[in-house]
Amino acid sequence: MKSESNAMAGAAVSALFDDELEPQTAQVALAAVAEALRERETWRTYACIGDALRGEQRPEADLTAGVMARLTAEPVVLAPRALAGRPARQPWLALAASLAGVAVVGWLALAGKPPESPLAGRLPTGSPPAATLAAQDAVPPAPTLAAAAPAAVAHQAPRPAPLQPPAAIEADMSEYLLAHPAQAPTLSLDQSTKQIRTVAMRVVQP
Amino acid sequence: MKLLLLGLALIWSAVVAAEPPAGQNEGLQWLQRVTAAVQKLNYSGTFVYRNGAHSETSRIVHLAGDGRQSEKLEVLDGSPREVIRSNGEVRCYLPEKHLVIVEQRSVHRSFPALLPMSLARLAENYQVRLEGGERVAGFDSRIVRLEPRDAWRYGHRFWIDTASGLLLKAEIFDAQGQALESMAFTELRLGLPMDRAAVEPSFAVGGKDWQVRSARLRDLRDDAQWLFRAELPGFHRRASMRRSTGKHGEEVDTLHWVFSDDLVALSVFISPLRQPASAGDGEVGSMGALSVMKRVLDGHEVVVMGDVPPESVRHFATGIAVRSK
Repeated sequence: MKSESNAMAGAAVSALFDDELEPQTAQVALAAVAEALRERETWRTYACIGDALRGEQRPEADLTAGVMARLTAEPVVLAPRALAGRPARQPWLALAASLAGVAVVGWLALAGKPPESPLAGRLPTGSPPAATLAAQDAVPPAPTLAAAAPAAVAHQAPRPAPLQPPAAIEADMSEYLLAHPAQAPTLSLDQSTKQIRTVAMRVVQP
Repeated sequence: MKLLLLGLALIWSAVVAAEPPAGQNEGLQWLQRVTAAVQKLNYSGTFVYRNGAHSETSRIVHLAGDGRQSEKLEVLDGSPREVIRSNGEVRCYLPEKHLVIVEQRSVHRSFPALLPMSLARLAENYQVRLEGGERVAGFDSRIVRLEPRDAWRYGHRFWIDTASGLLLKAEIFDAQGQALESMAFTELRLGLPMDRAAVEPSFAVGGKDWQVRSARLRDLRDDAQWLFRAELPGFHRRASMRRSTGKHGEEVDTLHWVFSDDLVALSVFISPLRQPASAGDGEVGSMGALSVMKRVLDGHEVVVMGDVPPESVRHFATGIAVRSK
């Protein structure tokens, strides 16, 4: 069964290279090729992790990486086109981060302080305007090769108003900051960094 | 001919997407070594935490030699503050406020929480590769770089001691490669004697002027009222709990869900709104690599925080809804 489908896929790929396929059939064949590559990679990853956990070191016996590296290094005319289609970095994300960062450092720093603190006056000036998604249901910056950029990006959002935390947030934020990393079942690589935030916010006060 | 060109281009990009950068598996092995080192090494040192223009020096003592992990972290700059981690419990001492915040071990958590599956899943969301070496605090390190496969998460770099596997430096960077947050040892000593006193808190918590704030955690079973409609790719629900805090005699229940892509976490806190109006509703902000968004929803206050870009938190928070009764 499997070999039969392999043979079919092989024939399809062959036809693809000979430019004998209809566009839709070609899409299917391409998807099959991509899936096969992905499956093989997943297999290799799991096998390697298994070895690592059992403490077995194993040399990179698989020649694929080398072959692929050499293929990649070949002067393929199509390479720039393909590169352009890879997921683009979203500059607006960083833009939003830089501004919002200013706002919430102030917000978090206010924890435990009277809400009438003149927060706005302390914010550094000259920050770039925030870029946010216009639509509420944001179009994900899809990780697919096809999506070059999300459609619903707009650069119209005004600078957010200074945040004045209500009493509830003031009281809870430090607890949340402590609970967030403490309860996270992630790889415990740098727990200390995450915990230091809980207390770091206190020093942000000017 | 056009179709052939297109086909070749697609195949080529599929190959690029499927083929890991050289060193992925080796990189994962290094990360595995880090988690193992933390579980068995005793060390003390000084590290600098950097968050934008702000930086802060802390001293850390970590004991793990007897199978239990204990850690004391003292902030050396500014007002004195301490974090004590012991057996999954985290205590945060804020002596100027005479306040201790205690976070108990989760009802779900089994420590260490490292499974082979989570390492494998890591490679689904991040491209893992080795980036040469560097000297940090007098130790030779290998650098493992985790490049996010999409814009929903940040990138990470880890500097790992080649001899012990200990994490010497860690950095979280954004899509431009700008460091948002970092931790780096400036001085480190390995192989301390087991001295429990070294991880005891410096502050005697006693008397009426010290306030201990601690939430009682319970399993959250009846959370069908809340819907998480917007998914973050690669993030899965890992824990849900009910946090009860008594404040001035009144019990407040906060619901807490944890989502994770195995490297970073996203927390959702939902508590009853205790004020009719809430400022900052719908605002997103960040501190270092941590993004926070607050919403008011059906008489509740929703706080979403995660070590992800602000847009990810906004996307997720905006998708939270109340099931209509």
